[in-house]
Amino acid sequence: MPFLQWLEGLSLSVWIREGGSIWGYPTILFLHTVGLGFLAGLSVAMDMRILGVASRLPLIPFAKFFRLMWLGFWVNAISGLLLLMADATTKAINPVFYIKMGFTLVAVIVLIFLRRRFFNDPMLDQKPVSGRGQAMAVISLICWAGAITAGRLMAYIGPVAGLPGTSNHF
Amino acid sequence: MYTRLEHFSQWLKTTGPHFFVVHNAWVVPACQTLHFFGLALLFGMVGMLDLRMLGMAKRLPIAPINRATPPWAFVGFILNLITGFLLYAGDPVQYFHNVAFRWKMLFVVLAGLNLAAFLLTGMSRKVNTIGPGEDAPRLAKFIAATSLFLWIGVMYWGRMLPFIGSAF
Repeated sequence: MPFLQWLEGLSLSVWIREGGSIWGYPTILFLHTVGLGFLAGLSVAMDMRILGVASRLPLIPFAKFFRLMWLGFWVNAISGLLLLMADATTKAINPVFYIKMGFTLVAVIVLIFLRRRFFNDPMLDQKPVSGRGQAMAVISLICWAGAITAGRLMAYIGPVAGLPGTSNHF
Repeated sequence: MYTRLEHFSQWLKTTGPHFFVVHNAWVVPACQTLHFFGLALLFGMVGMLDLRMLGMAKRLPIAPINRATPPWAFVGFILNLITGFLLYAGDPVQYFHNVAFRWKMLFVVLAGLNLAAFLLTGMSRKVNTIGPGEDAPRLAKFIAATSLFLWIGVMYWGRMLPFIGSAF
């Protein structure tokens, strides 16, 4: 596809992929991992609280963690876009990439639902967690597991991408 | 110590775990995937406690977080110890000579010492008295910030295994 070839041929993409700089591919990949730690990590901890772990903790103050989770999301959206650009002709035709995006999209929609509806209920800590809230937490856990698995398997399934001369198993 | 670890790494190449990893192509991707599950679980749990001690989501009392998160963080850590061992066993000599791997292990040990400091200074008991809206003691904040720095450092060195070191 000409668009993907154009994207992969941009000087920024070439620099990320082949520049050999620690600030290119390696650092972007590191940032993608830290973003995962904050976004999926805090999300998982919150889901487990919703599902009854540490039920003595009030739920409403958890809303304060969302700012950091959104920061993790944007770090990963940007770093992910840069990694995709660098290997556009291979990653963008890999079906596993679209599976990862599907899981991520649902996980983020669930997060938005939790923030706007679930945590906005002022009576949240005065009653048992709703079935809908619990269902959202379960979907969130499944989607993060799916997104992480698909992300990892992109390095093994589909066309080989990544730095020339390496086997691409990052 | 150095030669012992080197001998251990060479010996590992003659053992069952090594052959299990190299003869089954699915083991490395499976271990890497589970290693990231463990990362999210460990960092999510530790991070939540650290962030609260640093003053985020201050309306949460610390005691229930301090009681509920350690077992799950431990599950994440053990998962990563097992999957990490298998990945090491798959190519032990390479990991042994990998500079990034040594830094990663150093950071894991430092995170362990930081946890020991949290327990031995009595801070882990003291923070249990910190209720909604209250500040953790300065030493607890310092330990929390160190913990976040060290675990993010562990991720950094893990990611640098193929770049600063020569993994894969």
